[in-house]
Amino acid sequence: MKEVFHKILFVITIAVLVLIFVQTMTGFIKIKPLNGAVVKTEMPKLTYNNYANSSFQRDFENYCRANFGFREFSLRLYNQHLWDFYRTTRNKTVVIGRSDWLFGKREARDYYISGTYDYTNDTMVMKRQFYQEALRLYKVQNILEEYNTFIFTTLLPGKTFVFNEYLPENPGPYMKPFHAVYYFAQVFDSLGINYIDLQKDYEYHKEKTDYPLFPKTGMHWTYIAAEHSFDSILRYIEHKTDINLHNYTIGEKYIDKPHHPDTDLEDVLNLLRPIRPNTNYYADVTVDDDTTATRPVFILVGDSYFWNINNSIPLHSIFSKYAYWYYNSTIYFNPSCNHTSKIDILEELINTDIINLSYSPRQLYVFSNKFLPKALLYLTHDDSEIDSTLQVIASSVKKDTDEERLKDAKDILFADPEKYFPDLGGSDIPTTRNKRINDIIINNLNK
Amino acid sequence: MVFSSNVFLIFFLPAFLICYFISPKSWRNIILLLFSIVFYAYGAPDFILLLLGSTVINYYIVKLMYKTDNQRLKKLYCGLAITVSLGLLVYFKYANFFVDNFNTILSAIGLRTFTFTKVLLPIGISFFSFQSVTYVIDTYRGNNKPMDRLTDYVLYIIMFPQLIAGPIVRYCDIEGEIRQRDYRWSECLQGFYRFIIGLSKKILIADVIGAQVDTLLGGDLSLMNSGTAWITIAAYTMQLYFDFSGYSDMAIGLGKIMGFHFPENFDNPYNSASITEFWRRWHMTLGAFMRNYLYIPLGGNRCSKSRMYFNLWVVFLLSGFWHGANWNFIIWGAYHGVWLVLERMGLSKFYEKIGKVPSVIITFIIAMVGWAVFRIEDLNDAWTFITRLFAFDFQSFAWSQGPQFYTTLIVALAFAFVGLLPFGKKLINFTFYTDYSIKQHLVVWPIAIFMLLFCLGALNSVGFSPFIYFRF
Repeated sequence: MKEVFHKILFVITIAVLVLIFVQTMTGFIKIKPLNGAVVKTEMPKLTYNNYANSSFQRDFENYCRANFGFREFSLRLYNQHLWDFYRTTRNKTVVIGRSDWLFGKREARDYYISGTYDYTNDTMVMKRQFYQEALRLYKVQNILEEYNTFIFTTLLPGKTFVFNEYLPENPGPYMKPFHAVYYFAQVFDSLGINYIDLQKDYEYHKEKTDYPLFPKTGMHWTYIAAEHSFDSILRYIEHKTDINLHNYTIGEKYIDKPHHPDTDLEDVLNLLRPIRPNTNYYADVTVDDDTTATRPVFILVGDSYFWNINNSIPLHSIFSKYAYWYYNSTIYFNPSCNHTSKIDILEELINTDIINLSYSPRQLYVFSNKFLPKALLYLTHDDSEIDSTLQVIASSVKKDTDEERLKDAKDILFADPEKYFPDLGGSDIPTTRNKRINDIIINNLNK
Repeated sequence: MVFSSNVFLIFFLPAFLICYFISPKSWRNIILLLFSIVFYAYGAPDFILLLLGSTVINYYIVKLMYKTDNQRLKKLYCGLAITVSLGLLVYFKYANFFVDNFNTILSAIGLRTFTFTKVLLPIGISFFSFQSVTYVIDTYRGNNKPMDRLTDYVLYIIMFPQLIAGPIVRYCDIEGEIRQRDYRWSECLQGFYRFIIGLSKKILIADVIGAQVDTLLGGDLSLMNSGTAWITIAAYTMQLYFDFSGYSDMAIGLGKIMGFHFPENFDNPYNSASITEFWRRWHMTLGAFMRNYLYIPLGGNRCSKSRMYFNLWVVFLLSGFWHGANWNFIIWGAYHGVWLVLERMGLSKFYEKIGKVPSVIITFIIAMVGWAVFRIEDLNDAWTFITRLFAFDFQSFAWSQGPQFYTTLIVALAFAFVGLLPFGKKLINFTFYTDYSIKQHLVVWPIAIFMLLFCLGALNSVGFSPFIYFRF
């Protein structure tokens, strides 16, 4: 009896090992996938050479690591123990703060060192670059005013800046931090640039709201905070322009919402169970009926904070058309064009009522993502001039195809347009205009 | 291939177990041999032919040795077989060392050095060379007959559980089981549990501690305070023990699954009350090899005291050299040899006087200081580190390595010393040597499966790490 039991148990043991093998090869049991960026690892091809030099063995081990059966479960199990026992994680992008607050690692570093670390370590270089960008914005703002397009910047709040008391102690290096968000506000003030400083606003209101501004385990502002903040943004637009926008009402707050949970940082920890019941507050938004209100055309150029606005506010009721130029790259909500490289920027600049550059502290080191230099260039110079300059630059680029050369030439030109068009330099607003602007305006009048 | 790799755990092990257990008993040695060849060839494609070739040559030399009645010829064959085994070891393991040192001398006296292409070390050569030596000598001494079948002998040398890092299995210990062995399903299960214990020791303790040890020793050692230095060396002491004993547990466990009973390699070495005892408990199969094939032939205890001290010291010097072709290993071996001689000269009486616990603590500290030389290959760095240990500078100490490291270190220390307590002895006996009842299996088996999945998670969240003893 005992021997039979042992035999059965041992056979089951082998069956478990075989099950892991079969799951590795087929993935026949569906398991909740892991969150986060995944680099797909291909099964290496076995050849004599890669076997003899051991590269097959190395690649095959990597393949197994990324694809072994029940990987999702076993990694979550291990991560859960790290969280439960040590409040730590193997995820290199998340920092666990005090009272289980989670922060992005780079965001934490931004707070302690500099929001521009990815750009350069030299504060003077950073300041020069940021001032240059602010100067471009000043010029674009003034030129666009001539065509009734209102451009402004939203300095978004950063979780590490607002709730720095929950950050873990700075592990060093200890240096005087340089915070782009405060520097930009200072420069915008000195140049008279339109901007709304939500960072400052959040710092002021952080203990005064009856809803959380940031989720403990997410990176972006909460939905309810985004709703309140966008209301402030609309009021700011109304204050700075003659546009009468639709108001909206934020309903009673409630806990938990099954879709769009604010737990992006927790998600990438890949735990077995949630850190705690989601106690974030949400509120439904209804746009008020107002026959006197207009519905302008709106473009937002910026980082991922806009998703929470888009997911909670019916923007189509506020704007006749709106588009989201995600990092000035992919375009969302514009049915006719999905990438900024393919869009006629001049037409967009002239035909849009409101343009908002919206950046959180983390992304300020790439503020505007070359939107401003490109806008400035196309507003002030004819397309033919720009094209011929691009051709000159492209001829010196060492790439295989014309397409690649042109792409590189654009990157070079938009990185530093003042180098190729000296009239754009200095602090004066350029006086020349792209001749096509008039065509666009006439075209609009004829429509 | 290593036991704590995905390839082994997910592909090799299930494939092997199925093939092994569905085949008739008479085929199992061949199945095991084929899988062992695949196991070695997968990790060391350049050396599989060398390993097989030297093994086949040795097999026939030993056959000739056994057949001849001429004692001189017998001695000659014996010497030849040992030369084949140890010659490979000396060439592959020590050629670089000797040439480098020779060149250092040449350049010191102003002569031209000569160029030499560095030799790569075949994995596990220290272990399989010694195993073949035991076969040659035991047969020469008449302790056993040579194997009838070549395949059985090759299997003895390259059986995958102990091929890479031991235990060093004496031929006479395993001869019978290679020819014929009994299969008990309860032992198969015990073997599986033992394997999981070893895997857990390696992945959940040794690797977690090891990652921090590498970080700590990677910094400027001269700036290290004494507190950090002691934490570091205690951590390395535990890392090495759990890494190597973990591997041994896996090897013994796999052996048990297949019906083999490999000798134990560790017996709570840090519970030792002297260095002499430590070496009876640490890497026991190496200790046995050194005693049987080196210390006793040198004269052992049956000679003058001074000669005995010399023998002892030389044995440990060579034991250190066996661990690696570097001066730090030689110094480490000599350091242990000195302590053994001192204990024979009277230190052990002092230990008896002060009692078990203080002796264990002193022995542990001696072992830890030895591990510093063992771990830090650069002798200047090793000396700097040892001076930091005894600088008694604890003011700038900070608990900066994170809770996982300290918790794991405490758990490791607890496991390392639990054998000192009566409860601990019971626990060890129950874990390793008890034939479980059905109820106990029903508790232990799910834990083992859970630990397997947990280890896979840990392995793949941290990354791949080979066993420390693979390099020896």
